[in-house]
This record gives sequence, C-alpha cells and structure tokens, in this order.
Amino acid sequence: MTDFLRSDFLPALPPPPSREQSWREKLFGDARAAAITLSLLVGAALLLPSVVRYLFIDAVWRAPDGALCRAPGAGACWAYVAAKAPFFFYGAYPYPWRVNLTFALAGVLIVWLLHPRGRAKGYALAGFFLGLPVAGFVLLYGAPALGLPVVGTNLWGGALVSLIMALAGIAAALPGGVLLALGRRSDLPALRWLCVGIIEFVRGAPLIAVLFMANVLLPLFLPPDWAPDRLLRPLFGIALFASAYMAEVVRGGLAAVPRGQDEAAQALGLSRVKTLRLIVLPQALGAVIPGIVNNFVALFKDTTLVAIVGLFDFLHAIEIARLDPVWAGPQIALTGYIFAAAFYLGFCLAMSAYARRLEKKLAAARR
Amino acid sequence: MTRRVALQILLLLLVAGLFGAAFMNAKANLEARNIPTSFAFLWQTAGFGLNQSLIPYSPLDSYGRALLSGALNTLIVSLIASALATVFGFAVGFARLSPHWALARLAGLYVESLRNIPLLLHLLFWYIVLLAPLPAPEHSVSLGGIVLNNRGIYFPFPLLGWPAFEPARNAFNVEGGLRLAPEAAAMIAGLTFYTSSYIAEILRAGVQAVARGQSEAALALGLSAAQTRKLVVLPQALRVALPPLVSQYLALTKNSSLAAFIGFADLMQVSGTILNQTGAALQTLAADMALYFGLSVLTLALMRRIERGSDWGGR
Repeated sequence: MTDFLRSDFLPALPPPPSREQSWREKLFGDARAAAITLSLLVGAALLLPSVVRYLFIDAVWRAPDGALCRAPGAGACWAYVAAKAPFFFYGAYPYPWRVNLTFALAGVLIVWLLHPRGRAKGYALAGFFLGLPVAGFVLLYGAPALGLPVVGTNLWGGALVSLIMALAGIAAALPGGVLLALGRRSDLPALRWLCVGIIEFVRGAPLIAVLFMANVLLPLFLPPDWAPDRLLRPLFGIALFASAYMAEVVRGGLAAVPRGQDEAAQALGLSRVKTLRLIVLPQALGAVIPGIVNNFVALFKDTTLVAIVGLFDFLHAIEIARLDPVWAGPQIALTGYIFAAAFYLGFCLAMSAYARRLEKKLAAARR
Repeated sequence: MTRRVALQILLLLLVAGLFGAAFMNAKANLEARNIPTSFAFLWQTAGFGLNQSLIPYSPLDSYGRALLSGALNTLIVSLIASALATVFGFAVGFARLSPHWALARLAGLYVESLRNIPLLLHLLFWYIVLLAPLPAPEHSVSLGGIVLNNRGIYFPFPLLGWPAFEPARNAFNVEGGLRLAPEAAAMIAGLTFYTSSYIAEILRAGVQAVARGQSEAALALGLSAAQTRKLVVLPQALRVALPPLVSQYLALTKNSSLAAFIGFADLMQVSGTILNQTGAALQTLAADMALYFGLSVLTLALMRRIERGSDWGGR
C-alpha cells in the first residue's frame, strides 16, 4: 500500500479562476492543453483536406453510368446515389405517391404527438396506434374497392420497408412492453412467470435468432394455409423483440413510482384499471421517456437485420444496388455506405436530441 | 381467492392449448415436408467449408463439428472484440471527461457518430471497403512479420513456427503462422468500434456518478491528479460501471451473430447454412439459443457472485 503522509507543506495554489475562461486559455492554458490542441490541429490538417476533397472536390456529381466514378482519382460518386435514389427509398414499389402520403401522415401524427404545445393528444394517440396502421395498410397494400391497385409485398423495399418496420415496431412495442411489464409485477404467479419467461427468453437471444424463429418456426407452428406474409413474419419478430426490451424500461419506470401513489388512488376509491391508467402509468412512463426513445433508436438501427430473412430494407437496397454492373466500383460502394450512414445518423440523432431535450425539461420540472 | 386461482388456471390452459396446437401443427408440417425431427443429422457429413476454424475442420466432417466450430468462432471473436472495445472505450471515455474542450468534443463526436450508425453498416464498411482491396496471395504484403493478403492476415504465432516465422509463399497460398480470415478481422474491427462508443458512455456515467467531494477530498489530502484518478475515482466508478459493462459484453456476443451478413463462420451463420441444407429448424435454433442463453445466464450468475463476494457490490 502506498503511504500518503506528507511531511512538508505544498505551496499555496492560485485561486480558482473567477470568470469564464477565454478561448486562448481553454485551448492553450498550460503546456499539456497546448500539446493536445496542437496534435489535434495537426491531425485535422492531415485528415480534413482529403475528406473534403473526396466528398466534394473530386466527387462525381453527374454521370450516366459508373465509368467516371471508376476512373483513378475519382472521389465520392453522388451520381450513383442520384440515379439509384428511387430504388433506395421505394424498392420496386410502383406508386411513390402512396408511400409519400403514408409517411407524410405518419410525420404529421408524430410531430403532433411530440410537440410540447400540441392539443388534444388523445386524437393523435388514437391516430398513431389505430388509424395509421389501417390507413397505411389501405394506402400501401392497396384496396381495389377504392381504386388503389394491390401491390404485393414482394415489390416493397428500401427506406419504405425500414420505416414500416420501425413504425410498426414502435406501435407494437409500447403497448406490448407495458403489458409485459405489468404482467411481470402481477400478483398472479402464473402470469408473472409467463411474462418473465417471454422477456428473458427474447432478451437472451440475438435479434437474428428471433427473426429466424419468426421466419422459419412461425409457419411451422401454424396450420399450413395460415402461413403469414413474408413482411409480416419479420415484423412479428421485431415487435416481440422490441416489446421485451421495452418491458424492462417500463419496469424501471414502474419501480420509480412511490407505493403511496398506488395506495392513495385506491383509498380514493379508484378501480385497479383506473389507478393504473390515471395515476401509475403516466408517472411511470414519464419517468423513463429517455429510455423509451433510446429503445426506439436501437429499434431503428435493428431494422437493418431484416435483410437476413430476405427483405429489402434501406441498407440492403444499397447493398444490392452496389452489385449492378453499370454502377460497380469500390468508390461507388463507399459512397453508398456514406449515404446510408448519413440516413441512419440523421434519424437516430434527431431522436436522441429529442430525448435529451425532454430529459432536461423533466429534470427541471422535478426540481 | 377462488377468482385468482380460476384466472391462473385459465391462463395456464390457454398457454398449454397454444403449445399443444403449435406442436400438432409442427408435427403435421414437419411430416408433410419430410424434415428430420431428431438430432441424428448432427452426425451426417456437412459438405461445406468454413473460412475460419479453431479446431481442425474439413467439409467431410459432420454437422455437429461444424456447429462446434461455429460456436468457438463466436466465442473467440466476442472475446477479442470485448477486450479491444474495452481499451478503446476507456480511452475515449477518459478523453470525453478531459478538461480540454476540443478533446472532449472530439470524443463526443466519436461516440455520437459511431453508436448512431447500425452495426451492420460498420461490418459491411470494414469488410468491403478496407479488406477487399487487399492483394492476392502472390502479391502478399509483409508488415513487420505480419503478412497481409486477401486470404487473411497471417500473424507469427509461437506454436506455428514462431519466431522463425517465414511464411512459405507460393502463387496460391501462404503457409504457417496464425491466419485471421478477412471476415474475422472485419467482425472484430466492426464490433470493437461500435461497442467502444457504448463503453465510453458507460465509463463516463460511472465517473460522473462518483461524488465530487471524493476527488476534491483526495486532492486536498495532497494526492496528485493522476493518483486521485487511479486510487479514488476509478475504483468507485468501476463499481458503478460493472453491471452495464457486463451487459454490454453480452450484447456484443449477441451482436456477433451479424457475422452471417459478411459470411464469417460463426454459430449463427453455420446454423443458417445447416438449416438451409437439412431444414432442421427446431434443432439448429435450439443449439443457437443454448449458447447465447447459456452464456448470458452464466455471465449474470458470475457477476452476482463477484458483486456479493468482494467489496465491489453493495455498500
């Protein structure tokens, strides 16, 4: 063990800075800070110019095919992204307007739900969890009675599939997670063990295994003529997976609600259901909104895995487009990945930024 | 009271009914499609090769040996990636806590950008963009004893001809040394960088959970900044960080199943191939679950013991 007894006094330290440090003090305050700043600057000077060159100066913005992008010294191939954009976003779906309308509807509902000054959120909630699935099904799959030709799910692809998976996963995971979490703390042992079993089994498995199970075992366990659609099977797997993770987040929220709240509500004569709906759940869910949003971020990233069961999500569409002989080339592949990274980064950062802002607001409200 | 019992019995009956129906359907479906229902297929010849195997394996070996080899690949890749991710994650986590404004911001940028990109994209990036341009075996590049080509990365290794490791090169192959397949290298790189961003956040949360008074008291006692970090802050921070760290290692192990996408022969990829060849879905998925589930149960039990046994756990 080290000995920490001092025999001599240290010289007195200077008083702590009483004002905000200036930029120069922040970056070059002492030798250490100056050394770090200088090495960072050198690194940036070495790296940034080539990145900018690659992304903008040497980039190919317009080209009929991949020949220009395959030329030595060519940078990012934005022409490829422009040429393949319809495939990236819609797959082989023949009517882009139906997709656009569906997601515009979803966007409006989401903004309405999340906006701090939105009114009558009950309607928005009902619209998102009940109206949107129906409207989405009619618009995307089609309804011949309404003059919308049926589009088989084998034509769906690209960002369309990614967003459907994410939205349906969110719409299923929130109620599913709440039900599983409530079941987990039920005082009926049979129900409790069933919920614990489902949650722990799903959380112990990788998502790929769950998707495999949904894809291969679901048709095995159902009567032969009930075989679900190829889009529905992975959707079921994703919903189950997300629900199990959501249940753990909700459980944390339920544990954070003081017991007295529950008891006071019952003392006031509220029924069990009303106690849950009006007293416990609002507090429990409110306490874990950041965790819920983080789960949504993870869910959105996980939608890339549906490619394992043969669906064309956004990333898989980029993977496939890369193999087109007209547009094959190492720089073209890299450009596709940069585009995909920007797509996922944009969505996920927006969600996390919202969660952070909400967290700050909640913390301020609690103080 | 009787209502509770009745409710539970109803629930159990419902679950039993569902299982029973699923079982009957599965039986009928399996018979109709001529799918094996026992584990006997494990002893049949596999007939496919693996790009990386810890134990000797050839396409003439059995399905069972292929599964074992895949399981070992999963474990070894997860182990290496966990160790590397911890090193990188701690470095970035400390950088993020640095008083230096620019360094902390740069580490923040690293964390936010890496963890908001799907792991699959990380893996595809490492596999195709960085490893595919490696030269063919006849043009192998040698870097300080490590030989690189598109068949893999060859490390000098004690049991396999080290220190006199001079790979025998011919037009087709490099002999000797420890070969790391490009797929395995891409897996390790992708898992390492993706997970390191999560570990950096865990470390940061752990350090920030240590009361400010602790480090102030240590500084007042005359400890240097480095001593304060090492002897006072870090032990307490690690205590907070251990449970999320362990669950992150488990997540990494489960994430290693993404190997199927880039063709690395881990358990998931091997069982996927077997599933396609034999149709034995129930058995192969049971084998997968046994490894992943068993591993997480084992790790959690171990962690509980560590927490209880040493002064790490409850205060």
